[in-house]
Amino acid sequence: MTLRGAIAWRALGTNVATVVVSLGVTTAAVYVVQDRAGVSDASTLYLLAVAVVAYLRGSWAAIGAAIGAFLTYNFLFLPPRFTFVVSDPQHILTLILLLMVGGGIGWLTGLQRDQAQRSSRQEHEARALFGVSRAIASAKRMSDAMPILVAALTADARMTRVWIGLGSTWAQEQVVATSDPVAVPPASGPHSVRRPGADAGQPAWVRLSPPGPPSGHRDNLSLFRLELTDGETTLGSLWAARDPRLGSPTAEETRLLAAAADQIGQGIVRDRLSEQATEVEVARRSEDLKAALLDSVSHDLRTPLSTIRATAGSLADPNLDLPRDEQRAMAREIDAEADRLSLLVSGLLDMTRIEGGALHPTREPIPVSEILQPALHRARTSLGIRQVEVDLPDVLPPVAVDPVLANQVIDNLLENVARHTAADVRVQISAVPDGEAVRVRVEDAGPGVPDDALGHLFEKFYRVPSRRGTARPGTGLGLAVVKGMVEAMGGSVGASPSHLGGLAIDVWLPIAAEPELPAEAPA
Amino acid sequence: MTERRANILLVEDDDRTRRAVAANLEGHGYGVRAAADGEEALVLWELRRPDLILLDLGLPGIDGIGVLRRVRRDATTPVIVLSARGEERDKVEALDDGADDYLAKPFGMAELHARVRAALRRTLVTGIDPDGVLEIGSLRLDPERRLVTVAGSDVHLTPREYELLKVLLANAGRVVTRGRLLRAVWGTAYAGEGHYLHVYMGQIRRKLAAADPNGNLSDLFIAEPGVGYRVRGGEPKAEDS
Repeated sequence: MTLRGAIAWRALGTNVATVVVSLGVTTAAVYVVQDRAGVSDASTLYLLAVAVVAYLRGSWAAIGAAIGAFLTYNFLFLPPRFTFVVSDPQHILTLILLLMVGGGIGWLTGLQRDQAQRSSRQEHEARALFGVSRAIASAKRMSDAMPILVAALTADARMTRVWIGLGSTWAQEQVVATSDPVAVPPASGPHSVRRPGADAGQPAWVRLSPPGPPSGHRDNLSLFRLELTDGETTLGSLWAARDPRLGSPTAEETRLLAAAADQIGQGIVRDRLSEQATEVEVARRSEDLKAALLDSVSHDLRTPLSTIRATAGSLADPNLDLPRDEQRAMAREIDAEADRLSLLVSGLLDMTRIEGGALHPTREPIPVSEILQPALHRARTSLGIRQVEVDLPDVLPPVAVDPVLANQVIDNLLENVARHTAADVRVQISAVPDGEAVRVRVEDAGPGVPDDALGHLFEKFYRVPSRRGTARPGTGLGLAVVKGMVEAMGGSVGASPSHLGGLAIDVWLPIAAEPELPAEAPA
Repeated sequence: MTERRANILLVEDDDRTRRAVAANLEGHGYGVRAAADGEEALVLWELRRPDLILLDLGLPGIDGIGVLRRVRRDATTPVIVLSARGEERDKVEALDDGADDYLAKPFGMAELHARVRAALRRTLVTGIDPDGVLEIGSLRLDPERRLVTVAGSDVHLTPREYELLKVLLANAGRVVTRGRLLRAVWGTAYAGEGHYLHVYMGQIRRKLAAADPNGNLSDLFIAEPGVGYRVRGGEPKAEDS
């Protein structure tokens, strides 16, 4: 006997039991009313029983109950009693009425019941479908909606578990969502596949028995698979597993699963498109950025070059008889522009080393004063008459840095001050221990920068817009190099308004372990 | 300048740079011989025995280091190395092999003149004091008595500090590499311990500064990061234009 047969037999058994019980109760009532209370004909009570059976078990059970009532009443109550013989013609009419009215009531009530059940199922299906659509629509990405979907489908399609596998063939699929993360989804073995576009008369599911271990039957579940496609190629499958005693999914359940599979397929396509769009967008932006940087660099390289060429051309022109003073001024111009160019090229090379990971800083314990001293010495020409105060505490731990890089960091900071402040502003350099680092601050009484520029100062090629809307002269690399070098040495940088009125740049350099020195007796 | 016109050997393989620098130095009264490669440089060195050599390190054929070693076998003639930026190792190698100073390309002419003057001055100053007393500005180091004074008052240095100061003063006008200082003061085994120098130089600076309220000695020794120390020459300040 098949499982489906067992279910049918069980339904039949329930129907028979309902009919027997209701007829039994009615017969007892008829006996009381008719034989004890003396009412001549209580057969209409059976109509009530038929109606109850119709309501509980549907039309066919009700017709069965009507026939049962016909036979029972005839056998038990119509003389001659305990035979199926009917002596009184009036009783024949009663019996026929009982059979026909009972059958009619039962049929109609049963239809009503089936209708109500169908609309309830439709409502359920509609709600489930709506749930699927909403889960997909409200999630940003299909992958976010999948866990919700498989859980909803498990409940709505009466499945033990539901999962989604992606892959070009169903045997190579990777499970991307499952309603039961503990269970290992079977990856091969016999299963049923939905036949797309099956006519109403045909079974919606076709059983496949591909080669391979029947792992799907390890926990004795029936497997159902619906293909996920983008319309052309197979993307993967929607799998559902249920108790075999439930049979194949009903038409409603099949529609629900099919609708879900369609939507999942479309959602995956949508995801892929949006990923591609994002990649394209990222690539475009990075191209834009590169183009902007290239523009900026080529502008910065060309400007001094055009000055140099124009000036040198004038100096070399035999038709130009320039006074000696003017010739000198022009030569100085060339020298200054070449210097600017040199600074820019150095900055670009530094930036390339930083970004290319070619910076391999050593770490030596160095007193901060030994970093500041040579940098200040080198910067004395560019700082000119600016009054530079150096404020170091008597006891300051040494920092663990690369001496060359640390010096260049301070060089760049001083260069920055020299470039962006008036020739006579106060400059203050201070250092204090700050946690695991020494904070070195270079600040000035210059014009400072707007607050919203502070956060951008360390960006490559960023220049503070001046009040006239034009960029201030500078390479836009000095502070970016500072940041790159300091971070390569394990430190960090910051910018804030200075108490002197201008800009304060902070550099945190990691504190070194006290250096071990060979012992020596004081002289 | 000097009574006698100083002769400079310029070794540089780039024609334009060589021509421009040679013309400039000649314009400032130096006698200039220029060579475009190592072989030519050594021929000119043998023929002319210049007072100073400006030596580009990246030369075709015999390279700058080769020329320098050959020159150092015979003489202590000051050598200023011209090197591209970032070639720290070549620079240090050249200084360890006896170069006096270095100048990173691209350099300005003012910077070049300052270095040339400082290097030439050193040849005139060294070996003047028969007792070996080393003196720069108000700082005086007397090796006979192991005594260091600033403007006449004693400065107490530890033995290592004293040795370090002595090596530096003996090399006035030059760049002394970290390796040379460490070897001279602590011994060859310590040539890699660069951080000793940072600490000891900090201490020497502090002690000198305490004895020198005017700050005349504040930039006596300039650290050349990753290379060593540049020691100011023996003449009064303001040599840098």
